[in-house]
Amino acid sequence: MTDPVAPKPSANDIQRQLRAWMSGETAAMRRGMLLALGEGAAVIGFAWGLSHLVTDLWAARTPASLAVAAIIVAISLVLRAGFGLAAQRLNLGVARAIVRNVRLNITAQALEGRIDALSQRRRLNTLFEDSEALEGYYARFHQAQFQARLLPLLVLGVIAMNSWVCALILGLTLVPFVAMMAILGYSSADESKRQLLALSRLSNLLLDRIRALPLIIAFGDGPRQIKTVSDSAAAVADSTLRVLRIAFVTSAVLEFFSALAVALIAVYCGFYLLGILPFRPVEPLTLATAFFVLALSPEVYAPMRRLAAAYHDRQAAIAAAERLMAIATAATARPAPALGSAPGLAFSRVIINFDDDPDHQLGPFSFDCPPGSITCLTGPTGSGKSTLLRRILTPGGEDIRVNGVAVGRDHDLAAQIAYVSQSPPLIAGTLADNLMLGNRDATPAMLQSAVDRTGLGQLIAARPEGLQTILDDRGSGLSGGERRRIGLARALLRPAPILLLDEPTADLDNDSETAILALLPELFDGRTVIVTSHADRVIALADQVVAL
Amino acid sequence: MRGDFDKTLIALKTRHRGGLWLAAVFAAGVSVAAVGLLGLSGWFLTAAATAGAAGPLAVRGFNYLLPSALIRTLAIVRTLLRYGERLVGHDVALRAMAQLRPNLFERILGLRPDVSLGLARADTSSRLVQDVATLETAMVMRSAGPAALAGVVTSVTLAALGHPSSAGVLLVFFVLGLIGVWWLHNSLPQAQPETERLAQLKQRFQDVLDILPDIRTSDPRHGWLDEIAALEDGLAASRRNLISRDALASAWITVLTGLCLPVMALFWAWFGSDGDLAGLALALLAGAMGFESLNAVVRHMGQWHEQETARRRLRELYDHDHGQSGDKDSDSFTWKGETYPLDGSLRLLIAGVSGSGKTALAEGLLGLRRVAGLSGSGRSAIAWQPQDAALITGTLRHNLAMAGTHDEDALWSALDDAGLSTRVKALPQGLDTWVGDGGVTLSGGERKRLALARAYLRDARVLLLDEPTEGLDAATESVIIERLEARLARTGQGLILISHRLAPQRLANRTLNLAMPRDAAAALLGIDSECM
Repeated sequence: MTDPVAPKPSANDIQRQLRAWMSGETAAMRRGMLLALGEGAAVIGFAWGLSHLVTDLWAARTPASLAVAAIIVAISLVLRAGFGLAAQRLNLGVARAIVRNVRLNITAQALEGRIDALSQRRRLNTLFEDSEALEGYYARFHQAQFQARLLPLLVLGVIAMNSWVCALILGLTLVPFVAMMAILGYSSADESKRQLLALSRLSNLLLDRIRALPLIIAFGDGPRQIKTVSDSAAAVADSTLRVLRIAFVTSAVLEFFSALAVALIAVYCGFYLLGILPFRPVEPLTLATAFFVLALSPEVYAPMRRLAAAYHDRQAAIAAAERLMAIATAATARPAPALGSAPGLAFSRVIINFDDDPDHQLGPFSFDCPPGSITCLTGPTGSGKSTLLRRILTPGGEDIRVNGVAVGRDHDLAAQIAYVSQSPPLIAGTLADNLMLGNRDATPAMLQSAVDRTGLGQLIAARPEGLQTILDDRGSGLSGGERRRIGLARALLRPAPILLLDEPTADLDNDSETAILALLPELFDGRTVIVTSHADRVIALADQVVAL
Repeated sequence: MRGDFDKTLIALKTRHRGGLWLAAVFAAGVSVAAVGLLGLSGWFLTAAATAGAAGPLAVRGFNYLLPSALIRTLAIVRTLLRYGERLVGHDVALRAMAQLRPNLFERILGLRPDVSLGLARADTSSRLVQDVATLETAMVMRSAGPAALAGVVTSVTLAALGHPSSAGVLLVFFVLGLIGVWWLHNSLPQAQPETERLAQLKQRFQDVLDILPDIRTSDPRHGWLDEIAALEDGLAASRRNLISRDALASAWITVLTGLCLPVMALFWAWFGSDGDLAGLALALLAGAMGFESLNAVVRHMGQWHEQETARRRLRELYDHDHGQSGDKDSDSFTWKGETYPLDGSLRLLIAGVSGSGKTALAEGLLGLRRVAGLSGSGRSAIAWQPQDAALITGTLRHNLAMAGTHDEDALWSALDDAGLSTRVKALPQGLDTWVGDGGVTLSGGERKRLALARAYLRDARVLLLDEPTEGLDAATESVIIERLEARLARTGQGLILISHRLAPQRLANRTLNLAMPRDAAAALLGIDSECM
């Protein structure tokens, strides 16, 4: 791991987090539990009805004698179906609400700048794989766990009322059953983690290699990359199989004990009814009770088998929660009060660290930008110019102050900054959509004026759809200079008192540079500006030059 | 007619035929054993009670050893077969799909570049991850059919042994069950497939990530959140739809079980009450388990729409118009009537104002796109340093390896010539330092130089450098140009240079001037129309 990671959570922290995500849904969860109990009752009703279908005929072989049992069978199965249907829908609703909230919460934090999209990119890329893994936990495991704690005892109690010997047989086979589950459950936790990691690697790899397609094609590197994808896909298959193998062994063991218990009970009851038990009967047993107990006995294990089947949902959710908790987030920052006019900025001993390279440190940098001033940062490549600009965008720290107040904590300035990065990103959408990123309320007239002033007019004139021209996120068909102009147009549209510009004239020829330079004073007007550049003509515009 | 994708799927299934058959046989075995176990238990109990009530003689005549041994055996067989079925079924499906993923990626690489470069990134990756996983599940579920069939046949047979009327009733209800499920899935409203919604959501989220941190200062960021929330709601609706039809179908089967068993008992009471009560017990329990064995196939039917969508999405990707561009690498290229050789003699500066299509021309030379006015391209003859200094996520070494396999010395010498060796040596993990997503250490200028080193390592006749020194300070720039000059002399490579800066321009002895402003509008439109 090379990127910053939130502190590794303990098993308790993870459980607490899983509970915390659930906290908004407790009412629905409680309703789900009631439905589960109802389902348990219906199961007992069915077993009773089924046994009486046979034994009532034993007493009197007429259709009329079946009435009660038949109605009970039908009603209990209809109820069971209804409860099951309602429970599944309810649980899914709960799980989806949780997954949605987790994702939206993280997206919101990223948009608020509380998650550094650059260093956390790999984790964010697999947000969907990770968060989807939570669904099974809330939709299935949680319910199964509740049922497994309650229903076996309930059913066992009902059985004990009819035949305590059978209850004892079931109780005894339950012991190794529980022990097995615990052992296998623990051993699969690591495998689940590895499986999710393999999946996230594959997902990240594909995202990256599809982005890098031009490069791969141009370098003829296809075979090597196909091999990489193939290895990664095989790793996913292998790790998934390892997880499943454990789950299958668990299920098989449970099933074995369950089948064994049913077989023992069938034999005990059969021998009892034949009157050939090798020991003196210790309780009264009729065909009705024997049949009832036999029909009910699989239901002692059924909830636990469901739990075992859902167990890997739990392990996956724990692995997923750990990954989601590893996304490093900063504390909530409230938007700063509107500045009104161009503020003064003060940098005092700002140090830039790189998480993956602790020895590599830039700074300390100290300088002041008076209100409305233009500061140009210069310095050799790698001296931290761009990183310093981004630091102003990220809340946190006491070393950068705006009008004397530290940026961050309760002071998120982002809404009041216009920022143009070295390579302004594009979204898939129209050119107008892309320009409006700077200001949602921009009118067509404002757009047109920004377009004209940044020299985008030629670009638009060349396209029949004009501002409605569709761009893809690769910016196909745009030159580096055009992208830059789009970034500047966004800044122009954005009425923000602080302007940060990263290399505004890089990649531009002399004429374009001249055009942009002519635009800059207007862009700078009434704002406190920090610009990075090597270009002498940009430096000449600055009130002060800070060499990093 | 079958497309290539369907053929590939069939080929995969053929290759894993043995495993698929085995899983199906195991699954059928599980159903037979499960139905047999419960039916036999019910019969045994009732028969024992009947014999017990009839007196000691009947008891002595009752063979209890065989049924009780059979019950134990069936219990063990069922467990083993279920384990085998799951393991084999998943093993086959996972391995088959692990082969499909690189296969799909290879197809993408084989597409005409103007098509493949237009694919949406997150959506395409979703297809390779999610949609393939959906097909994986479909493959695992293939054994549901044989399992259901075996369960139905066994339970009807056992019921017939009990009493013919029971078998008749059971058969009627099975048919009713399947018709009902089929009707449910066909008449219930179908939501937009989950897999499509999830792909849309991922694509939007990736869009947001791509424009962070720029969007930090952007107004509509709450609009983005609203949009993503709306997509989430859509996904939840699709998921709810899927689960609801699933749950409805299995509720229907449960209800039918509840109706079928009493009817079986009633019919027995009417027509067979002179017969053996144990036969009814056998039929009832076998029937209940028979319905149980339908559950998997019912779920499979519910997933059909989702699986079809996944197959369609993968087919789209796989069977994309696969027409080759027809561009063979040539030894030279022609621009506006002028021919330039792609060999060591070339020292060309591509000049033009920004927006005049210099980078587009470079990509045209690599055959990555069509450029009006350009004929000839030479991907294999060109070592490219892209303007955006694109890297792949991985280590520095992985990035350099894109240019072929080289020994340590060659790597360091290339880094040296690109002016990056000092920086890399200072990194704690050296060449194994992670760059790309999650690796932020490299500044824009350092990425440029890494891309330059990678171009140096490629064994090609011509270097194509797009703004190699942009964003670099003058001192670094002059060192790099000096070393580039020495390198060209040493390797005998040609040079195509795109640069606004004066310093590197002295390396060129020939200039290709692109049309002044965008009269190249026409050029761009030309590109667009030819891409269609």
